[in-house]
Amino acid sequence: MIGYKLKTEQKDLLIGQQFAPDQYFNPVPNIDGVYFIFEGEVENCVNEEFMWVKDLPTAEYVPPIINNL
Amino acid sequence: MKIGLGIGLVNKNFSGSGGATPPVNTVSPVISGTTTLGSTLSCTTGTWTGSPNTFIYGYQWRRNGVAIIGANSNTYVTVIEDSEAVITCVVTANNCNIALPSNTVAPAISGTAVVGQTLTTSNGTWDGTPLTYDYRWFRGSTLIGTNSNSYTLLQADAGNTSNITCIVTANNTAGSANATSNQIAQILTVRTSAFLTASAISNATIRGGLNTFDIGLIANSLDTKMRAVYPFVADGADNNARALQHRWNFMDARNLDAAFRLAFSGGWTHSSNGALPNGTNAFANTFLVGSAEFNTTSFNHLSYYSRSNTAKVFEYVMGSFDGIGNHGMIIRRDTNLGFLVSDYPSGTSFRTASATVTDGRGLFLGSQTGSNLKLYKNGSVIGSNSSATLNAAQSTRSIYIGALSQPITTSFTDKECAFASIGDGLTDSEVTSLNTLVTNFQTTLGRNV
Repeated sequence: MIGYKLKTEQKDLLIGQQFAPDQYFNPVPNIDGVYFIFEGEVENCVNEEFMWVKDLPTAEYVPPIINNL
Repeated sequence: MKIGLGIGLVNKNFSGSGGATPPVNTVSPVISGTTTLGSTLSCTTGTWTGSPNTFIYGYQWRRNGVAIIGANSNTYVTVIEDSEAVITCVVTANNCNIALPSNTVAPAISGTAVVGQTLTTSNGTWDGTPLTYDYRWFRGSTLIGTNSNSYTLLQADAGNTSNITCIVTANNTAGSANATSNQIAQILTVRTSAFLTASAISNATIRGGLNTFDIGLIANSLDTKMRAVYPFVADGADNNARALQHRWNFMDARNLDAAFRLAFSGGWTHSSNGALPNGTNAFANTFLVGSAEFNTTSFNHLSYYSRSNTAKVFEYVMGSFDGIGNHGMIIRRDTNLGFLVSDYPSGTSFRTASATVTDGRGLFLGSQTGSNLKLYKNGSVIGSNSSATLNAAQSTRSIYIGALSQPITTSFTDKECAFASIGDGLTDSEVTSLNTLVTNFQTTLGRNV
């Protein structure tokens, strides 16, 4: 899956922030601990404060090893 | 211009049958007004006796004793021809040839078509001078109310084809006649109305589907067992508008965390078919905390309807997990599909009802009643565990849809959600009833499996 790659400081800015009414960013790490957001967040972002996410670089997202709960 | 007295005349057609007596003029009609050109003259009826003592009056204005064509009301506006003339008015009283009431404009019902609200009908417009009116309210052909021009809607009236009408009967001394009001077809439940208002949904199909669903919930006493129901319906213009419509809890359509409306995080696609999580970071917070809502004495259920047949391993569709092992209630898929309830630290004695499922579409529901933990697919038991009594605290985190507790787990689902519910544990027959309601609801919306 293609995602939008975040730097650490960008991830910290986005966590739990609104990108549209009642919709929130949820950066998640890949297998290497690099954080990503995804198309639904970037395309639907209407918060002027975070419009820069539309310029983020894209990369293949490889999820971390799944923890069997 | 000179004005003469009004003259009272008995109706010539009086028959005198049945003990009736003809009208007798005891006080003559009187004309009032000024004699200037263009002024309005008025004529009283005078005073009359007779049996019956209800009269219909006729008027004929005369100029020098000659009838003025078209001057047949109790008022007359003078014209140039009236100069130097004597104007009189002949009043005729009639008490035997009173016509039956005749409806010219049908009665009209007004009011809000929601259970608990009051509908009111007008009388309509009638010829024949009705003296009184009677009212009969109908739901279809069933008489539901009499003797009032208003009717307060009951739960039994709720429906999409309720067809509420009122027959208004107009009465005078000659008899009675009926007229039927307009028809109020759809009566919404209180909950459906509140949900539609909150979500700003106007689509008629959704409106009818929700109304039927709620009527079914109430009829099966399932409404008292639901803490939250998410129907995932939307008619908004774009993804963000539809997200705002998908968030509402049908059982409590208030924009509050305490009303358990959803907040979406991560990448979701919102459509008229439901809410589609991206399987990578999308979840919805119900704000419904396992330890607060699902204690050791309550019996609980979760349900999730999807048309997706994806088969991710370790896929957590819906539930609550505190990150340290207290799982709360979970619908998940690892090698099997499972419904899990646990109050134990991680790694010990999960209480699970599970089944191997190759087709992940439909309504999956996990329910606990007493020590019985069951997993259902489309209303039928597919897994059970009869030794699943809870005896300790559950997860202190919210129940999430599309994942467990963000950001601890990475086990997000990619199954589209078109219905979810959270509430008390359900019996087999209650699950069957709920499945029927959900299936019919999805069929109405054209998104059934």
